[in-house]
Amino acid sequence: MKNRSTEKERTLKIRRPFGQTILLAAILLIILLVLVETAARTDFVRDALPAPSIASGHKRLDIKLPLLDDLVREEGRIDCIFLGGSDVNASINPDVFSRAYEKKTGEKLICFNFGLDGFIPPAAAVMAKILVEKYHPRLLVWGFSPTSFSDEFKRTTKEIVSRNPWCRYRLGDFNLEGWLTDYSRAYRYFLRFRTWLERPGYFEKLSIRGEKTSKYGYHTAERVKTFTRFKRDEEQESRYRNILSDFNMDNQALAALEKTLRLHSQTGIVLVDIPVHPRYLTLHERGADVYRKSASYIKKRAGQYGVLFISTNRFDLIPRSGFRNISHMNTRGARIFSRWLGRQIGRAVSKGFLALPPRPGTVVSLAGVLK
Amino acid sequence: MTENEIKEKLKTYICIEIIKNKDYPLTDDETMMSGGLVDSFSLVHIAVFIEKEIGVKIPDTDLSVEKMDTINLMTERIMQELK
Amino acid sequence: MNVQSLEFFGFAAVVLALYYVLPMKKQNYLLLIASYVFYITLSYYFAIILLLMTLGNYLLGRKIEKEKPGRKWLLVGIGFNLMVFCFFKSAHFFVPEILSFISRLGLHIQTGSLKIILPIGLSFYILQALSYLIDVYREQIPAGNEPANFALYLAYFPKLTAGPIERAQTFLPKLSKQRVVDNKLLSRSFTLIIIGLVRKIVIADTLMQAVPAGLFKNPSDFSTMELVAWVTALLVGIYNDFCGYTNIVRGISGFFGIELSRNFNHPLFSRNFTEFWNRWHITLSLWLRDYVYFPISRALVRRNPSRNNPVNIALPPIVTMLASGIWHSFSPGFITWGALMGLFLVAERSLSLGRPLVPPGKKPPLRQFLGIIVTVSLAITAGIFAFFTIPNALQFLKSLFSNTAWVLPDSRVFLMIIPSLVVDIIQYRGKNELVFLTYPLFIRALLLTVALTAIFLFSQGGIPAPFVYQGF
Repeated sequence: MKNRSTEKERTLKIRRPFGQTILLAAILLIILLVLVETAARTDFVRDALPAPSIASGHKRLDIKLPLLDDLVREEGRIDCIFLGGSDVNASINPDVFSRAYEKKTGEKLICFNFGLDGFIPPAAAVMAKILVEKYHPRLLVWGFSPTSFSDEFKRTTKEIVSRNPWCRYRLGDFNLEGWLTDYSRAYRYFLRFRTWLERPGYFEKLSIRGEKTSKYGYHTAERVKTFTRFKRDEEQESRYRNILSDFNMDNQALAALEKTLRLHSQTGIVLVDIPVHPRYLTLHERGADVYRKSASYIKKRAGQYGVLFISTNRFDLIPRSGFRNISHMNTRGARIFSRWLGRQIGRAVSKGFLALPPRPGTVVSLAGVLK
Repeated sequence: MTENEIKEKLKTYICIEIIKNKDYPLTDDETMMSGGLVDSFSLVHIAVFIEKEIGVKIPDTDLSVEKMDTINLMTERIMQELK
Repeated sequence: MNVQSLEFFGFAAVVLALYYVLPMKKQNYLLLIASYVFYITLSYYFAIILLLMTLGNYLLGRKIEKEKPGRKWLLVGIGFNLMVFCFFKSAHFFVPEILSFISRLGLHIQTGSLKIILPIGLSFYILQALSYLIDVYREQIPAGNEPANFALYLAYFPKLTAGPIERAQTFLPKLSKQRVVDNKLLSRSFTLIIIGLVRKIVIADTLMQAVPAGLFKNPSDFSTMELVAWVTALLVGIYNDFCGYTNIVRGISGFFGIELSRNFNHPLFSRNFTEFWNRWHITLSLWLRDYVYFPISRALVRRNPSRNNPVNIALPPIVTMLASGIWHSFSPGFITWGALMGLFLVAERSLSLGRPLVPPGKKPPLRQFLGIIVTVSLAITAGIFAFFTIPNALQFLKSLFSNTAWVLPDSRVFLMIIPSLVVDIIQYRGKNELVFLTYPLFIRALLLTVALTAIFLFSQGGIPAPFVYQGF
């Protein structure tokens, strides 16, 4: 009797069978995910669809990352990554570098230019960590201009890296989106689709600007590929003049330098200051002084970690015709600089100033270790 | 008034005044509101017609699809008041 | 807590778990407490106002019932509710306007004490309180209800913030009955939630995000085709947003064994305006019909029963739609919107005068299709006044006819409108919003898989604003 009354008062009255649809949907979901992910990894889909994306909000990062993935997939490894801002993007042709290096050492390096517009030291340092831990390059070349360490620069690029779920995941802050982005190619395709849905001009704008990127990440844009004459940009010059007139080294940028230098235990690190047009340092009377001071500071810090710092601006390396503006080279300048840098680093390696970690999978002989 | 008389009165009024077609084959269970024959405007006229001709006031909140959609439902609602 | 947020679902799940183990009477107390807890998470101040409104209306109801006929107390009740409504609505609309006017005059005043926020949901529960008082006065419901039940009628958390607007006549009896949640209700409710989430997260949010901000500021920058496409996207977006929201809360409420009213019935397939208002925000339309349109119209028809009398034809719809505009907002845009909607209804009525009536469903298919195009286009035209400020709405309409350069609209608009249409067509053809439940098990499971995947994918954080190249 009592039982019947409780039965009558009960709100929830479930009868079997129950939840069949949900159960079947769960099974189908697993099958569907496996199928979609498998399809996303086939060459057919790879060729048919535009490159996947991590939806960072930084166009060049979204373009270069899948290119790097493709290169690693094609070659089975990546040996050397050039990291930095738009100056690195414009001034290093990995192909030319690699040939020059090979000539010196007899060893072929697979290199990628990961120069990203606006990647000032704090952003570059975070990206350096991500790249080293994910791709295990044997050499990381970090390029910057004398004024990269100025406290005048806005930190937008740092925010891009610190907000992006994938970057956060790679840095150890677990989140579902980041995890999915890292593991699922299908999800990265979805992110590309969603980027288009939300900001249709995002990817197209690059092609409007005529920018194309080689498989080694070299920015072979129309403007850079075809020889571009030096053109004065008053606005740019006045901005740099201001930076030079009131130059202070930024604490966050210096902390970023330390962080990157500490990566030397995991990979070979080279710091290089990217040549600028001679006009750059004469924009303001403090110019040469600023350059000398920041270069000597970086040299000192690099020396403490045993890291090679290649200073370039005291040489007349790049002819004036190798620049398209005061801080960016054109293709001629990039060719000259990449060849020079390849020789320099090749020489450092062959003379033992710079030791690159062995290629993964190489059998290290005891003799080699002892030497 | 009997149920059938009410039905006939309603049908005649609706066919002539609302549908404007005295030959319209209106059945007792044709859904007039959900079928689009009778809208709010016409419903008010029907309600006032019922008030005046049958002497029954149907409250505004009962002028709904649930209670007035067919001749049968209307009659049923009217009979409720008459009893 | 948004209704589509994980927090809200978590909150509802906790309440539900307690709800299932409690006996009926305590269930109502639980729901009442949960509703106030939910409201307090939005604002303490909102909850206090709701509590005062509940008390006031409960006492007024008792008074109306006791002093038959309580006409005087009914008028007091209507006046009280309308005053509170107007106070908050006008403060919400006029205070910022007045302040900006004062600052334009160069005067600076301390504005801290003048910030009066319109409590979320107030517009909805005030209508429910009003209908309660009127129904008590008409002796259609007793006022001697359990006070907690009356409080729950106004505060019930699934419908508190944005409806559906329920009636005491149908809602209160549900509270004094044993609720039963069986397999059928569970699957209905679950399906409603899934459809709601797809409409809200996958369709509406994506569409609304795609609408360029410049559209509202400078409509003259867009071509005719772009304007048409974006404003259609806006309408489909708003429809899916509100319809999705209502589906979600109806689904959640279903888990408590309390079914809430439907608010949308494929409004974009309306063949005329009368149909449109029976399909768009139905609970509001029905409320306005029962408590504004019918009383005015009945009084007029009693005086002059002619179906051709211009006052009988024009006055009730215009007053009703103006009331609808004012209910939405005191802004001139919304009032214009209401006036236009009223005029459309009057025009539609006038055009059909004296002709034999053919229901829209029995007209030739082409006429039906044209009816839909005209109705939806005019609804959008009126909507422009609701979406935009009046000067921008006028600029919009001007550009619509002058910027006729051949600029194709964004392809994304179509891509995002199509899913909405597909869902609508399936439900419409099946004559059942839960038609999916009649499909075979495998198809049902497959649809659920696709829906859940889409909801998951689109509920992840959006794409950050693009990095603007800063030239260094």
